[in-house]
Amino acid sequence: MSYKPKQYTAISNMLFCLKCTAGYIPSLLLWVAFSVFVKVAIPVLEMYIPKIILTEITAGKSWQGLVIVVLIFTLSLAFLGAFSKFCERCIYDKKNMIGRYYIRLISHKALTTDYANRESENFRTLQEESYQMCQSNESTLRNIYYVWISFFAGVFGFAFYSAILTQINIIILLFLISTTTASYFIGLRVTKWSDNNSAERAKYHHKLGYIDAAAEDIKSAKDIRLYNMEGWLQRIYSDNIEKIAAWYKRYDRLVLKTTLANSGVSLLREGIAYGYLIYLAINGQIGVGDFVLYFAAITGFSGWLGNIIGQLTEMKRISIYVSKIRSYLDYPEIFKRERGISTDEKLYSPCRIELKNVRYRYLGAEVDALRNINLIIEKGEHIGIVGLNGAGKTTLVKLICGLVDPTEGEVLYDGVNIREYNRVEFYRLFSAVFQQYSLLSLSINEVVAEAQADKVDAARVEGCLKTAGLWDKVSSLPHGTKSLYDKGVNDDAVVFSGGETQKLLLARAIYKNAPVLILDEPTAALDPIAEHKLYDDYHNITSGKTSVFVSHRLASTRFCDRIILINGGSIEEAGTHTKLLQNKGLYFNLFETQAKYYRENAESEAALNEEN
Amino acid sequence: MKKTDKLSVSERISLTLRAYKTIKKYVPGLMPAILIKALVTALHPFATIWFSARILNEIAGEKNLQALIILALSVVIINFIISVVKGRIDILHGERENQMWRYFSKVFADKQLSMDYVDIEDVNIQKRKDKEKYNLFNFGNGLAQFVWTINSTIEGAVSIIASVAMVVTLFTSTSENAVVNSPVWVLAVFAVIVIGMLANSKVFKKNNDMFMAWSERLTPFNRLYGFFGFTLCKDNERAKDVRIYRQDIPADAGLRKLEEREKAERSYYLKYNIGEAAAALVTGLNYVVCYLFVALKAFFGAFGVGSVVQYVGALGRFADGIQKLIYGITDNAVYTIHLKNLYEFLDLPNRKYQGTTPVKKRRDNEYKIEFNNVSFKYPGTETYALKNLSFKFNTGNRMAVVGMNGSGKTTMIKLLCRLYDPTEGEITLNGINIMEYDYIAYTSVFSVVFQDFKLFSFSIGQNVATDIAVDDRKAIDSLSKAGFSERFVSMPKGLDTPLYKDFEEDGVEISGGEAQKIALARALYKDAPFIVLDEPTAALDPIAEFEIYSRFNEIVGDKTAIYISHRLSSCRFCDDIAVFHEGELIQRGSHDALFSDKSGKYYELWNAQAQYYGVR
Repeated sequence: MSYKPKQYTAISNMLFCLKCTAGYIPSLLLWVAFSVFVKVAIPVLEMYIPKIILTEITAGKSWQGLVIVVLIFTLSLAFLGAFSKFCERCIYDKKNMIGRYYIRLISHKALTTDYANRESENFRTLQEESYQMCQSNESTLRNIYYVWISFFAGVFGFAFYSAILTQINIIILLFLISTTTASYFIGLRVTKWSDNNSAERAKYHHKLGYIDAAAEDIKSAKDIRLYNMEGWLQRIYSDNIEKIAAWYKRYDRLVLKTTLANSGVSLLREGIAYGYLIYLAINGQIGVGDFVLYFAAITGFSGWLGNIIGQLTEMKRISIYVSKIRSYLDYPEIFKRERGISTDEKLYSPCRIELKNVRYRYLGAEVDALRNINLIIEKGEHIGIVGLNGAGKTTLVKLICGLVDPTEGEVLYDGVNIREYNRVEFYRLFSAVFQQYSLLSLSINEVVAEAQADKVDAARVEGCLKTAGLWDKVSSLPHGTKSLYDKGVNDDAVVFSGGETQKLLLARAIYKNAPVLILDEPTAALDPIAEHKLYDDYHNITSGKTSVFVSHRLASTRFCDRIILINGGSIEEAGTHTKLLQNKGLYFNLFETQAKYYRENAESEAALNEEN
Repeated sequence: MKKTDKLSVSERISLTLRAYKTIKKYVPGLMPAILIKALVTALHPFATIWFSARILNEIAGEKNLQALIILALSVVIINFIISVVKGRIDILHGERENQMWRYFSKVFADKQLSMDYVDIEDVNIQKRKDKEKYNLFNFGNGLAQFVWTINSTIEGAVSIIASVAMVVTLFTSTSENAVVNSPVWVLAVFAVIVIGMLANSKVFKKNNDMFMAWSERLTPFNRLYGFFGFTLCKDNERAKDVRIYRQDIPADAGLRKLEEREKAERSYYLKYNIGEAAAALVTGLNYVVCYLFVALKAFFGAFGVGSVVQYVGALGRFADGIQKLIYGITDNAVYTIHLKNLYEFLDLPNRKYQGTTPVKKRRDNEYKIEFNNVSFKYPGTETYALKNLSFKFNTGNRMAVVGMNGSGKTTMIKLLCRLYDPTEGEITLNGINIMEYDYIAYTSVFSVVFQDFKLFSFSIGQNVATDIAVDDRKAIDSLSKAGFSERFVSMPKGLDTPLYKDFEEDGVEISGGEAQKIALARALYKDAPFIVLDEPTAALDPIAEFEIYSRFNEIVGDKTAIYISHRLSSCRFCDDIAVFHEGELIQRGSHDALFSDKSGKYYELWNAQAQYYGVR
């Protein structure tokens, strides 16, 4: 199910950016228009000032007249310059604001897209690329306005200068157009080369970045010190620096060649311009004033034309990136949302869940993660799922709560295929503690209730924290449940240990009070006493609900109504703890492996001695 | 930034020089590119200005063809040479500058590598580092500012010298009008330039203060923005909870709120922009006065029309040069303060490396470790993580350390390995306080597999050897001892197989259990007399756990071993079990001895776990 990005035309991509800008911050476009005006007006004025003043001086009529002319023109230039600066600054402020807008679009897509998309490499790459296009002040989508300004200034400037130059000689004009185009294409070689070869340099840079990150990662700090890894990392770093230096040597050779060629072309252009104008001047066809004017027009002309060609290519290049962000934002969603069945009526009591002939294979994987899964979870039943690491337990959980859809077969909730539900609403049916979690950087109240501060039921939060065994800690904090979570964002936030975080997650799941409770390895970071407490409270927490308890430790699921043993992607055994032990199958074997260490009888002591 | 922290000139010079050295060391090729670029960019316009003035004078005057041809040819050729140098340096400089950020990280990475572990876990020091990094990477404060402005500073200085040389004749030449000849004009021209420059630098300073205040105001918002806009969205581990708990709603609300907050800074934007525009206007007025003066002087016949172009051009360059220089100097005052902060952070002393006593590699492997009344508080906390810990530990011992989470097990190991130093009491190795030993030599005595060990995306061989040079036989041997052989033989590139797919397509993904085995192999390869295993089976399933336990003696060989776990069953095979509780060593002995103490913590912990296996 690989997804091919849609093709968008360059024009439609420019219109996309234009529309976003007009919708979010229309004043930005006004400043862009002003900028185009001053970008053309200033050089034109600068070109005419020497001509007018020199003509005035050579005419030598009156000094008062000269003063007035000088004042009029230079003062207008000064004010235009000030206005230009003002425009530039306004654009700078506003283009950074629109960056925020794009980031909001990207983040919205990231948070609401089908969960299956989150697991697709393709989607994640597009997302990362989209971020890069608007993340920093200098990123593509924020700087597109400069491209537009430069392009339109180029168009107007080109028209104006052409009009001046046709007055002397149309051939000069054609000559200038052709040499400018030529040098542009010569310059293109450098860009092409670096486009083709930048991946190589990026790879070296990637390694440098990796080493920097490794060196700064607090988690690797202990190992780096005790295994004295600094030398190792530094050597890999300097190896890559050398490779980068070699890359630059090749790059520089090409740059030198092209600049030589380019400078040659401009030598020719300048030479011919000087020659022709000198010829006209000596023959008395033009005066000093005109000489200055035309010379400025000739040298300035290639700049305008260069802008047009250059910015057209730039827009084409940007268009490739805009296509990426658009294919990201338009990335197809398979889950039903508004069109799906509502779950409003199912919120208050659990229903039967059924997995029928389910097979699941991860995108790009060569083997099935799960196959031949037939499982019925009756309403209110407490299921335990056990199995070795990598057996497929978490995948099964993801299928049950509709985070992914089966590759084959179907999952039914209350007899209806879950594909038919409004998926966003469907998730309201589940309270879950996953191994990999997400807690918001807000107050503990908000973290537990997953609601804005004014909608939090404080008494209920307290109750949930008590049940989860975290109340003692939270109530001892100076700000209680109003304390902030996440040290990364809030300086005075609370720091929770792994075990305490797990309790916080549990409290949140209890607060949500959904008909189905899913606990995926909720005890891994708990100490034995806290683990014990959770098992004791389990029936209280889950009464009136369907529950699924996942663990790789067999003993921890024995209190479940039914235990499912997953092995190698399929259901190997199912039944109560006692029944599974009687079966003397895989469950029995695994259980014995763990239990023997706890045995106090001579028999297992002997077994242990044998091994020693 | 307070206004009071002003630096002396000599401090500023030495900080600037140090920045030069830092850039030279960390960002290859950037410094020479900056210098050449500054020089060429400064001199380039003068060639055109000077020659076009001569040509114009000739055209307005005698119109000598030969002279004109020579002049035109000279300017064209000089421009060609400059254009070759400039074209090349522009591209290279641009590339180098774009890439500089990549290399700046290394400055911090190097510091982190050389820092004491205690400082790495010290929130205040890490906060300081984050602040320095944030300032550099978000605003370019310090090093990047230096890179951005140093070339225009140099360019300004060179422009001033060249333009002064070119306008001398403007003031020395005399016209037929006495008023225009008056030296007051010279003063007026310079006064205007000086006023312009002062106005500019004042605006610059004021705007900079405003910007600092603005970014300070928005910093807390930006951190939250980073969380909602990036962390929450990019971290795939969060994706399940995001959907189940509808975290997209608070994220959207949060982002919008922060956008509004930024937009609300209207008066800041307006004031800042008006300031910039006013400064530009003053610069424009310079031009008005210069032009007026030069034009009048020419009008009254002091020089030819060509020279008008030369003087106006040169005066323009002069004002421009002054502006750049002033900007460079004012900016220097700002970035040297940032640099000072940066270097103060980078110069934080590393205490660990003060010990000098070498650790003698004893052939008999006789090492004796003793904790004497050791207590320890984590920096910045009030409670003891370890209290009055005293115990001895000899070569060949096998000790298991058990206890609940937070009981001080791992802290004890960190002290033993000198990742931390005790707050009170001392730890001795063979009777000498471990702080006296040379740090590198001391750590070579320990092989530790921490619970949160780290492997890197390089070859499996290098990961085991933690070096580019790998002793193949030893590495393979260590891997097989650690129980990794089965997977290892299926790897076609053997020790050269890259771990993970970060860099290589053919990199291998490994499970948590396999990673733990590689970490164990790394410990064995190091071949240190002490081996410490911190919860080595946490990521393993029962089968793999059993495998490790049953081969534990074989793996450890004749080494001294310390073994940490909160699973008591894992420790049964140790004859020496130490029970930690709330930072204290409360029980020590064999399993049987500890188990028979029915009121002890060990018994309580054991039962909590054992009952689920139907045994007591």
